[in-house]
Amino acid sequence: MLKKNNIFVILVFATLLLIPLLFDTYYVNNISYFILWTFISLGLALIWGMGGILSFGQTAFFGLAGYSFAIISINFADTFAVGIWAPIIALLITAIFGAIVGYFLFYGGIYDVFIGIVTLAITLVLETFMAQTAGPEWAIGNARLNGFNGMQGMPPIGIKISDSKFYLNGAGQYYFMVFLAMFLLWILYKIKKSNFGLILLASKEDRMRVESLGHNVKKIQMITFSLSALLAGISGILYTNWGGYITPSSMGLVAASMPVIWVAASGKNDFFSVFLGCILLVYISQTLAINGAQYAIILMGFILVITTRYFPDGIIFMLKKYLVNKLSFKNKL
Amino acid sequence: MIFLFNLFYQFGDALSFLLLAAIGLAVIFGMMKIINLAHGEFITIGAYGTVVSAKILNLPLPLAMMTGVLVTVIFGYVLERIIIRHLYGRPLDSVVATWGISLIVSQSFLVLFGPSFEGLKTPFSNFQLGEYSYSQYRLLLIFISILILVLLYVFFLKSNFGTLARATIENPKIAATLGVKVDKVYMVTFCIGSALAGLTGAIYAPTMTIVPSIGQAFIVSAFVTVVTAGASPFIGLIPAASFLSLIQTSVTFYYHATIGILALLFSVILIIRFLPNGFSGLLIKLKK
Amino acid sequence: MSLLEISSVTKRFGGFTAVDKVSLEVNKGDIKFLIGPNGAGKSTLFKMIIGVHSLNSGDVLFNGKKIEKLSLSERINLGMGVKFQAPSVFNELTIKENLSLATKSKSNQEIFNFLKKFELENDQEQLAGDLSHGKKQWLDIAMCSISEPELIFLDEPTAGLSYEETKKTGEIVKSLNEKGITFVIVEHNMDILKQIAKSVAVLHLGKLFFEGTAKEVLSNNQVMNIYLGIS
Repeated sequence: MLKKNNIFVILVFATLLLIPLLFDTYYVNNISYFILWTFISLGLALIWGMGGILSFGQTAFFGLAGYSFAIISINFADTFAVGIWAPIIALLITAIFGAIVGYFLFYGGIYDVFIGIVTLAITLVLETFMAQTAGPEWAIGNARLNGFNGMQGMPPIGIKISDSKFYLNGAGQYYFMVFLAMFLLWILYKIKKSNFGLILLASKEDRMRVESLGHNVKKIQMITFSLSALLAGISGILYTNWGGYITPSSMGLVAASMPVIWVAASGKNDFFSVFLGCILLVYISQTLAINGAQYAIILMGFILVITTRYFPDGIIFMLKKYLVNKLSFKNKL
Repeated sequence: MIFLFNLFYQFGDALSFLLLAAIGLAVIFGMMKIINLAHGEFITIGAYGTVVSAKILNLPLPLAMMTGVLVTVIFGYVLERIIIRHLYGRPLDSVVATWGISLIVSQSFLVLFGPSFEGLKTPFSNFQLGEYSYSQYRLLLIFISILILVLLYVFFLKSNFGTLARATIENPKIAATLGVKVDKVYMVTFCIGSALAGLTGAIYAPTMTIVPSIGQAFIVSAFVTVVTAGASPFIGLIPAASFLSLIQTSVTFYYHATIGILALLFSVILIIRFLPNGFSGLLIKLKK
Repeated sequence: MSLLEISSVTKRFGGFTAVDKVSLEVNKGDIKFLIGPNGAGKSTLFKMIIGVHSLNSGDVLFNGKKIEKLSLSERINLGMGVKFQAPSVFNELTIKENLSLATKSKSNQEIFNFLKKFELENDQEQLAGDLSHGKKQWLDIAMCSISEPELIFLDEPTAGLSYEETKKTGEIVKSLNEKGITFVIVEHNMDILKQIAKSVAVLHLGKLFFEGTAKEVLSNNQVMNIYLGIS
């Protein structure tokens, strides 16, 4: 029995899978750009929507992963399969760093708005630090950090076997992202329904009560935080691969706020709404930026204010509910 | 001697900056718990209000500053009535909404006034001591900022309205049963916070380049100072700002400005971790 | 060896001593009431035993093992159950979900049977937030007892309940006690004390004032005076 909601999800993914068959590479690469931002948003939806913890640190992990990937792959540029294991190691580093920060926060008793401030501070520390690494002395192995201009020219994700190259670009990159998104969404929904997910949701409401039922809330929150960092890292690595560069501004104050905006406007309590909403919002920002730069941002501002006031569950989420209901009405006919 | 004065000036300048950045936010966030990401924009409005009335209306600087504050209060009043009053008790939603407002205001200023606006001359003049020249105005700001803090302390902790405001915000339900017009108290308090932020913009306007993002320079400093000040912002602001400026100034002195900023951010992280009630909590504990 | 041994524990807040060298023993199978006027230190003692407050001095032993260094969740996993003063159920979750947080090992049938005691077995999909105050209290008790811990702490379980609901609560505790669960209950309500208390400890100004059976306590003039504020 297919639920109405599932039909909607299937329709969206079917549409996404058809796109490379209908449009040219330029268009496909553009959509890939929108999709790569969904992972960091899903990570935020996990820690904020499910865990009730607003972190401004997602872009710190985004940047950390991107830079780690760049540094490792540049240093081992001609090593076999560097395009495979460099991103994996970068993700591992990011997850570990996420666990460390999570440990510091939750085992240190830091909560609510203080988490926002501390994670924002961490993000700004990384940005400030990386921005002043311009000189030649700032290099890790062969990889110069390049300060404000950031790093470029890293080997792409992929593998070269004798003469055949399988690099992540074009339609291949696009499909990789779509399937990865499908897989991760499935995992996130599994987590939501699991005992782990229930403990997380309950902790949002009353931490002490959950602990008094025998659960180690701090450990669970730390693990969740690390998972969110990992998801942010996936976006970071895909971004670096997509454009071939990573800069400190991806960890600035504005960048740090973007995932919060996307997730809040889409509906932080529903993963699929966040996925779809992120794609749409990045698309809208880009379109407006091209056609009316100044007004684009004003419009984004209004979207946020109106969402909070009239659509506190998220515009995309409420839109989805509306469309899903319309679907079932049509089915009845 | 001159060296000591130099240090005093650097420290005082950093201190007054943190204090003045924080005052409006201390009321709106410290007291009312609204995470106001548009705080920088309130300061921008105060600055532009001042500069525009000085340049276009040709008002003398003190009057121009008052106009700047007035414009900010009006803005704050309208904002409170339309949006903010729906956000009390919803901290995470206030993050999103105020960020939206911040985007609207800063971009609107860009559209209306362009990327930069003709600035004002810093009042008074500079004086020379040893190798460096110092601004009399900024020296004056050190004392003015402390004075404003003292006045705020007296107002919120000693005056009738101040006590009423604090009690109402702490427990609006009980206040309502006692006949307090909770709605009005919140509104007036928010306007006071707006006025203070406008004042910050007005005070700094003559010393800065007038760009639409002028408020952005204050926002991170404002938040970290208010957060480290702790639960009683008017007790904790001066100690918090002093500690942070001390760290920033001394590290900048030994290394350079960027490292100073890093040291400041690190200190904030450590303070939040080890002093959960901020500096006001520390002072209250020491008093016992 | 007693199930729970509290040995000369003290808790100070700044200059104020909330609990002053209190020693108590709780034997297996007991229903011990902890009573005393407001500010006597009952809740503080309660929180010290379960691990919300640290001790300034003294020991707490559970089954002979010192537990002062353990966290709240670790103590629970040793075999304790806790119900705090205000009903703390998860309003945004269903009754079923609330209970599945409390135990992983019970089948649906076992949960259903267990809930019968609390008159909640037919409302399992209802949001806990929609329950009446009385039913919330019972859900709270159900949550801390469904995993059948050895020792359950209840902090004012009858707060806000009607006379009938209070009686029913007493019956629930009694039937759980008959299955072998030991109870320590902080209370102000003398009706439920008379109904089910096996032993009573009286706290006054942070000290253990008197200990005995329910009958002994109720006929003790000094204890009654404390409650009426005379002494």
